[in-house]
Parts: sequence; structure tokens; C-alpha cells
Amino acid sequence: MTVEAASFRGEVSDSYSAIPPQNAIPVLLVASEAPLDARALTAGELTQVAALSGARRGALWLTARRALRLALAGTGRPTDTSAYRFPSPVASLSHSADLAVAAVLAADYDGVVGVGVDIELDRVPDPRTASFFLTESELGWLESVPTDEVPAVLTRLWTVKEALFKADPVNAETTLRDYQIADPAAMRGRATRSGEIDFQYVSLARPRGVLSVAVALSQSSLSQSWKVDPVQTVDFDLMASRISSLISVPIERLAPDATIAELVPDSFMFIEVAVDLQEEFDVILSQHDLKDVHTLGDLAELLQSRQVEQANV
Amino acid sequence: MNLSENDLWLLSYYRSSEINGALFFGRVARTMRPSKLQAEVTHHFADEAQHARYWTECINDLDCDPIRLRGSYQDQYLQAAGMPANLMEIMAITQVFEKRVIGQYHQHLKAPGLHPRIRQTIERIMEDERWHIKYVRDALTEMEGRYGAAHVAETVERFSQADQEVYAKTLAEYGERVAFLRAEAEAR
Repeated sequence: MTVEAASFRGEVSDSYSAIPPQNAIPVLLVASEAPLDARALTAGELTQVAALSGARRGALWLTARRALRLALAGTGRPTDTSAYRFPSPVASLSHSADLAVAAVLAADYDGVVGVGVDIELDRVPDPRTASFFLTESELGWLESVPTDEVPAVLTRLWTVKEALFKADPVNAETTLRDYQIADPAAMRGRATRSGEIDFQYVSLARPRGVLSVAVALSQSSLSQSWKVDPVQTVDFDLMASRISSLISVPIERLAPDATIAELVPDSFMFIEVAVDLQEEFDVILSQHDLKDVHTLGDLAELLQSRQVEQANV
Repeated sequence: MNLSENDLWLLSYYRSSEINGALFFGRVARTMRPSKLQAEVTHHFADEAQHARYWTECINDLDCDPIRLRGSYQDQYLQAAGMPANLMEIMAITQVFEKRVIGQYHQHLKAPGLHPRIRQTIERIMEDERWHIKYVRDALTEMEGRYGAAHVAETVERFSQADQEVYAKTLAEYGERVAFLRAEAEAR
């Protein structure tokens, strides 16, 4: 599962190009440099904008809300932006200079619990601040980056960390250093927060900077509970039946004295048979065990004895 | 033709190894009980198949056709270390093998005059390979409870030794085809 973001058509124009690749979580990105028409604000949005101080903040807010509204409309979601609280499971906002970007999940996905976006244009973090947002291992990796590439790398990592933070549904007490990027060199990949929550992210290079989008994945989607079939008690007929289906040999030929080397000459196939039987009967066999197994009867005896031994441990 | 004979052989070897990896993990995936690990092994199986496709496309884009190779690096592994007999051993050999793959691709990225299309393919594949190492490492840690931490460590060590043997043998066997790798190994 990866996060896949739409790319911009241009810095100024709004973009509507959700890309739904296979096995990916599509996120629609919309950029805007123009503010939302104040006459189009809902009652909730009017209340929110009235609470902001200063014309500049108000203008940025309206620009961001325009991007968000377009993204919500483009994904078929309700467009009253005041109904969305951040961190949100479906949407995120960022702005840099006069450009605002909204990221909205293109559809609802089980297991996605947060979306984050961050854009940086015409700005490079001071290298001395790297230790405030990168982990020890990330800083270690940064030392291997050629000096002339460090500013661009730092900017990208900053946007990734910000996007992770925004995507984290419980980020109230976290810092950017709590997020560990699996491979800091990768433009897309995985990240975690203290082993508690996993993320996918992707970074997109822009002409004047970089943008990153992240999605947070729920623990339930990561550690799904699986229906466990009951463990079977070993008996020769059941074992032969499984082997028959694996190696496509009629069960009538699978007598206790049948030799395994003749039935399963392909060593990969033998691994498959061995693992399948261990899974079915919940036993562990070793290479040493299997060395002494020549016939199907030997194998059944071994499985039976291991099942009894291991049940008593 | 944009590839030397040796380069074509090496990329075809990668492709063949990815195909064998896909077939191997496909077989493992279908024997496993439903579990998180089964889902991950299935994902791994799909990744390996995709990687084979990436190599096919890369070779085609360089105006060549892949060479049909039967053998692969994995085959030699199994000869040197013996067949993995259970899921833990499969994960152990996978961990060692995946580290070797990443190392190999890293070395290849350093090869002088590397064609950008080959670089792009390797970098794309390496994104998945890093995840493979992580999920396998996590699986082995989880298996320590059932198989014993010492036994897991011994198994990884056994396969690591086999890996070094096989890699040295591969460098010797394929001579000039992988000259740039041998130079790296000797420089260490």
C-alpha cells in the first residue's frame, strides 16, 4: 500500500487530477493562489474567518479554504470547510508564500486515519535546526549527503516531517523528532511514530521547492486479527490428502512406503510441502529432522511425534 | 543496442532472480495460514514479480531482449546452505538474501558510466527491498518466542556464511561479466 498524490498542473491554476494507481491510496491535491469569494462563505466559515486577526491571515485562510473546497468538491465530499477539524482523517492544508495546497483522500479507505500535506517554496531550513526535526539515524544519514545537496534534502525532509505530523490523528504531544522515516533518501516510502503508528508518504519536487503528502494507517489495519483455522491432528490420510493437492499426484499413489524423493523431486516443491504440513499441523520441523525422512510413512510418524512433543512443551 | 553483452547478461540475471523469487514466495504464501505474515509474504511475492517486469521493461527500453536464464542466485544459496525446512528458516534465508540484493544493487549504482535507465530501475526496486528487510526482520523477532532467539540467530548466521560463500563463488564464476563488483570486493 502506498500513498499516491496527484501532481500539480501549475503553481497558479487549480488542479483536479487524482491518480488512482493500483495498490495505492490516491490523494487529490489542489493548489490555489486566489482567495475564496467571501460571499460564498458558509455560516461556519464566516465565524471562523471572523476570529482571525489581521488582513494577511484572513487572506491566507481564504486562499487555503478555496483550495480545500475545490478538493472536497473534486472528491465528492461535503464542501463546507468549517465542518473539518484538523488533524483530519481525510483532509489537510498547507501554505507557503501566497500559495495554498489542500490534500483530500480521493475516497474512503479502511485503515487510513489521517492525511497530512506540507509545502515549502523559496525557503530552506537552517542546517543548524536539523537536530530539532530529524532523528539520530536520519542525522547520521544526512552526513552522507553531498554538501551542495543538503539544503534541498533538508527542505524535503522538513515537509515530510510536517506532513507526518499533520496526518497523525493524535499529534497533540508529539514533536517532529518522534517520526522516523524508514529511508530518508526515498522520495516515497514509510515512516513510523515511535513504533506506534505507521505512515506512507510521497514527496513531489516543485520548481521553487517541494511538497510532501502523508497518510497515517490505523493499527487495526496493520495488525488485523486473522481467523485461525483449527489445528488438525496428524493422521496419514489427512497428510496424504494435503500432499496430493500440492503435488498433483493421485492420492491412491500416496502409500506409506512411497518414497518422497520420487514423488517430490523438485526441492522447491518439497519446501512447499514441508511448510504446508507444519502450518496445517502446527509443528516445527528442522533440516535435521527431514534428513531422516525417506517415505511418506516416515514423514507421518515424524509429524505425529513432533505434534505430541510440542503440545507438551 | 545500448547494452554491452555483459550488461545484458547481468540485467537478465537480475530479472531471472526476481522471477525465481516471485515463484518461491508465491509457493510459500499459498502454504501459510492466514496471518499478517502471510499477507506480507504475498505482498513480497507480488513485488518480486513487479521487479522482474521492471527489468524486462528496462532491457527492452535499451533496445535489447532479456536473455533466457534458468539459474539464479537463489538456486546456489539452497545448494550451499541446504533447503530451509520451516517458516523461520525461510524468513532467515530471505533476510540474508534481501540484504545481499540491496548490497548488490548499491554496488551496481556505483558502477562507472551507469546508464540512467538502469539507475532508475535499481532505485525503484530498492524502495521495495528496504521494506522487505523490515518486515522479515520483524517476523524473525516475533518468531523468537516460538523457535528460540538463539536458534533464530544461529540460523541467520548459517545462511549468512552460505551467502558469503555463494557470492564469492558467483564473482569467480562469472568473471568479467561482473568485473566492477569484483573490483569493489577486492578494494575492501
